[in-house]
Amino acid sequence: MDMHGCNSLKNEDNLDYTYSGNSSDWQQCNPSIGCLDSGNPSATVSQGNQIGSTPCSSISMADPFGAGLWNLSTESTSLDLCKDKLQGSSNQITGNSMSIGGTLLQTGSGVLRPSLSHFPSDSAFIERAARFSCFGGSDLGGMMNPYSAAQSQIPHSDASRESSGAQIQKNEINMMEAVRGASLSTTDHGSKEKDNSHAAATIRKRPSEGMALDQAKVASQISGEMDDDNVELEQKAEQNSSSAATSRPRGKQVKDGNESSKEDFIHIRARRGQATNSHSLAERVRREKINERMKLLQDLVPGCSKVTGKAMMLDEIINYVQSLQQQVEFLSMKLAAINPRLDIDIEAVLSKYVLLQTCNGPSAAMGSSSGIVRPPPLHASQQGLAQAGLSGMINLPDLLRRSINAQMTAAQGYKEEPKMQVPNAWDEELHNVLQMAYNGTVNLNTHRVQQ
Amino acid sequence: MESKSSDENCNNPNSELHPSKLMMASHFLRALFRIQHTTTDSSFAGRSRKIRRAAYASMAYSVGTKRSWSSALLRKLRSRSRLRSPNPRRAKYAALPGKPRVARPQQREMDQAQVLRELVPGGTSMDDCRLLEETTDFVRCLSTQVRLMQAVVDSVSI
Repeated sequence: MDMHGCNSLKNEDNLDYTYSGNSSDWQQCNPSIGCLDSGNPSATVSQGNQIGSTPCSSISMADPFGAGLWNLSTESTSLDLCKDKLQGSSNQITGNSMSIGGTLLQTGSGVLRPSLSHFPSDSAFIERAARFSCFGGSDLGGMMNPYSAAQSQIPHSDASRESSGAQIQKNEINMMEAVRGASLSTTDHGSKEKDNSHAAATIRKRPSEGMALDQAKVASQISGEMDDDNVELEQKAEQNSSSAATSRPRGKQVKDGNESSKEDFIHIRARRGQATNSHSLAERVRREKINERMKLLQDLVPGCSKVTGKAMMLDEIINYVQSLQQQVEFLSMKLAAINPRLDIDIEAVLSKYVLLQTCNGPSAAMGSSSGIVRPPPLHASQQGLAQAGLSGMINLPDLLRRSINAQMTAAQGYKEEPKMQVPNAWDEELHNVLQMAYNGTVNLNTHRVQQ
Repeated sequence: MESKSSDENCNNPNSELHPSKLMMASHFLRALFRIQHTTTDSSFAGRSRKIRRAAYASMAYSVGTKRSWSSALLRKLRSRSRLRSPNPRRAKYAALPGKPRVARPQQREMDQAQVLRELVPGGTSMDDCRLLEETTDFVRCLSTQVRLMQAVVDSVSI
């Protein structure tokens, strides 16, 4: 059958394409929406605006619009026409769809994509578009203007029509996604945001297929997850084309109420062979979120990279948290045991430390520390510390160690053992500050110790 | 240059440390010395408990209320301190995390998420997704605290 042939052709093409960004999705949808129907499907067909089976099905989806003009016979007819127009230039194809899209927009059919500026410059897209069997031909350049004009109408489009338009868009998104390919920029976030806000990415159930390919992904919340979305959309492109080919795009708005506020919800697209129930989709979103977080945890917990699977990972994480808590307990006991030996006035130190932090810069800390340290008389042991602090190479353990050593040597008269700094993760300022505190209070300490 | 080498060494370990490690260090050291100065007569166990509490308090204070685990921890600490004076027995109910608990033989069969919820403060009222987020931050903060305490111990113990 022609339709099937057209569909299969489209499927192949869709499989080849990679999805580069959501914006491309949106852009792809626009022309297809144009194709859908401005009131005369046969006219549309004659113009060769059909982008393939998906648009045909999308056009059928235009039923909610009240067009009701599409039926299977029409689709097949249009498909035939599409094939005839296959030889048309890709520019023409996109131009046609865009013109139709403009007219469709004027009818308030729904949200269209912005930024069709990518079309002319996308040679890869043009290549792919030429491969499509159902593209008609018209001037691509001329399409931009009506589209931009139509775009301005988007915000004013009928809210009631948004969902149906969005559904059509979804089909076309899937369609054009494959067409656009990876060459389209993904940086069109602004337009994408706009699209997202307008596109009612309601999860639509196709009765015949059960594939919710019509879900548009709105990254208003998760712009960071765009890459993941893109990958998913690639996979969905295949699905969309195949499902669109075989499904009757009856206008059935499902779960519209759940996603009335588009910015608040994350719209995802169902993958191939996956259930399209809104519950399962939400479940999938949740699962993906959890997987992301598990990956972060995997980096954090040592030795977790080899472990695969949620259960094992959770075991590892639990063990790690418990071991950390035990370590805290153990170290606190240790500190309690050795604490009496530490006799440094840390309050002043830390207040200076905070001040230094605001000044920031190890050199600044060193400079101010040296300035503060100078006034009190320095012991020989202190001088070693001061010099080390000034050089900025003391770290916390060494600093405290030196202070303790100095304290002990002052008490016992031993020579201070110079300890080289061990590379540590602690900032130098802290060490300098501790050194300062030590220098500031060591006199008192020595006095106390000697008494 | 030694500073450079220390910087290089610091780069990787620092990436795992919590961004508020300096605050943590200041809080903890303050508390540590305060404990050392003021409770010289208390028992070893009491002091170690105080230090442990100071460790968790410094963690929670440095993070503030940005995270739910830190808010829950602060709440726990404050309720504990409030209950301490009137009725020391009541402090048992507000058990701090990390309190050594009896090993549960059936732990594996229990829902792991439930176990994690009990480990992370404030985790009982969270869904799985948020629980993992909080766990990530808690693990980072906890490892930073452990490193800080280890550094102090290293410096003091010579």
